[in-house]
Amino acid sequence: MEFRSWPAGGMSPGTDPAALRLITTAVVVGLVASGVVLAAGRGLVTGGAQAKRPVAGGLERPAAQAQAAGIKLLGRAAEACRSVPYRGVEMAWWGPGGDTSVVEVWHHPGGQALAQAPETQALTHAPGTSARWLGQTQKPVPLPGSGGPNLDETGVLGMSPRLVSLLAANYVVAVTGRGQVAGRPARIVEVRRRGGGLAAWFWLDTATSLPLRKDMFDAGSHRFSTVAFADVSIGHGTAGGGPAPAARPWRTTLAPVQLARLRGSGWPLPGPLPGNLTLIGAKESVTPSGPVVDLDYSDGLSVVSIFVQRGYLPDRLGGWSQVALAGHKVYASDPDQLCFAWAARGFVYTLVAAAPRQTVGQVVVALPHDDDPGWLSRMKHGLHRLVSWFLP
Amino acid sequence: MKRHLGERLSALIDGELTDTQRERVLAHLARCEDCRREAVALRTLKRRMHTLSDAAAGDALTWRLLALAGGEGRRPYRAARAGWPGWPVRPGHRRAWSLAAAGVATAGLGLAAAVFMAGGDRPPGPKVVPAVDVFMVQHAITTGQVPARPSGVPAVSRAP
Repeated sequence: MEFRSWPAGGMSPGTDPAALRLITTAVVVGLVASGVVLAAGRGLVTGGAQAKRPVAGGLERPAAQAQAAGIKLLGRAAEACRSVPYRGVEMAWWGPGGDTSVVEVWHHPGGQALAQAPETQALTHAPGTSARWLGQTQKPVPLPGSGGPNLDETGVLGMSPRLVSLLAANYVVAVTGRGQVAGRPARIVEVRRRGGGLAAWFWLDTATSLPLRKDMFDAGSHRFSTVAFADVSIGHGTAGGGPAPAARPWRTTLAPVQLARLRGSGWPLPGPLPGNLTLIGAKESVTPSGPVVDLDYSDGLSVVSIFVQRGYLPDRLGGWSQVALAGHKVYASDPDQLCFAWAARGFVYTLVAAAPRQTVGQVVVALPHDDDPGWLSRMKHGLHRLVSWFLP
Repeated sequence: MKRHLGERLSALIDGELTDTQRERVLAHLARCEDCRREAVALRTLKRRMHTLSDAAAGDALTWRLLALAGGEGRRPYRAARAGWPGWPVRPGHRRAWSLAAAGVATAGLGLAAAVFMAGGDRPPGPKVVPAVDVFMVQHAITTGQVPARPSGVPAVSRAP
């Protein structure tokens, strides 16, 4: 530390009148300048009290502007998902210790085809066509009970106008930077929860706005999913050589009237779910064990599919293990635990989620479950039933 | 031909004769050597029988001997020792009790199981095994992204 001493008999700057005047002037000028800057920041200069009102769903003006820019860019991305032809190899990583999946993707304007990487089974689908698995010989093998879905609504990497509007309603969005995916420059859109936690990053192709990568984070801001193109070619003439579209429709889209009719006949088909999950689609397909209703929910980022069908689960489910999720005993598919199933009140529920585990837990809690009656209650019921058999 | 005492001799030894009959028998024994020898033999036999009877008074010894004769080792002896004083436990009875108890327990367990099974409600409808592969594909189509690895499909690589 440096100490400075003043010459003996001299005046210190604090007692020199000229220096005092200079210091006072500087302080006054500084105070005035700070006041002007603060007033401008709070809108006092341009809008008075009106500018203090929160705008754009609780966001201050700069955040609202960033939100608008981010949503505009995501809207362009959703449009690009439908209109830009491309072909690429897409990789997905699910959760710490999870597996990595690889698919080849072909996309023509207005549709999409997916095919898993060679040497493994593959899935293809296209609008108005059936979904198919490609076997070792790369010959299409129809999926059981499958038909052709229309992907116009959703597009690649979960981008669609509907989902973007939900995203805008439930999250804070901002364009935060630039990066590169599969050798292509990209702009990064950051998605945050209203509480401030990081929820996702979208990496959008700078030239076309096509989504190239999507990272999702749980409530603790830990990454639990990454889907990204490892290789991609964009433009006309790149999407040739894809699998041939199939002919039969896969699922029937259920209109609200049909949903209401099913509910009226006892089907437990919930509306909105916790976690701001809105019902974005309902479809019906037929399996050997009867009809299955597929309900899709999203908050703009997470997507949860619930498959409901009449019946009960067998005592043992091969390929599944029993786990406790949010206080309920459910079956989880091995080994990834990406699928959950349970039976309650005469219906079997199967849940597939691209969502944080916390969201999955909230959904599981919100759906019906059979309470465990306890062995004593069951014995009483059984005794009563047996007695009624012998003494009707 | 000289008449001997016959059955009256054994009655004498057993103390079953009246005074008059005993005097007549004793008068005969005084002059008949054969009957005296037979009387001595009968008394000796009776004494020995009485001695044997006293020696067999202990139940433990009796059951041990019986057990040895039956080839069942020391278990009955232990069972007898574990029994109530003066109330001997016979192996045959013990086995019967055990069998009866096992039968009652089995019947009770069977009844409890039947009651428990009858108490469970089997919901209506078919038995359903979720078509997880199909559901995952449908979900992938909904989300528009790579389907999570369906069961039975080998993963291409494992995440680090």
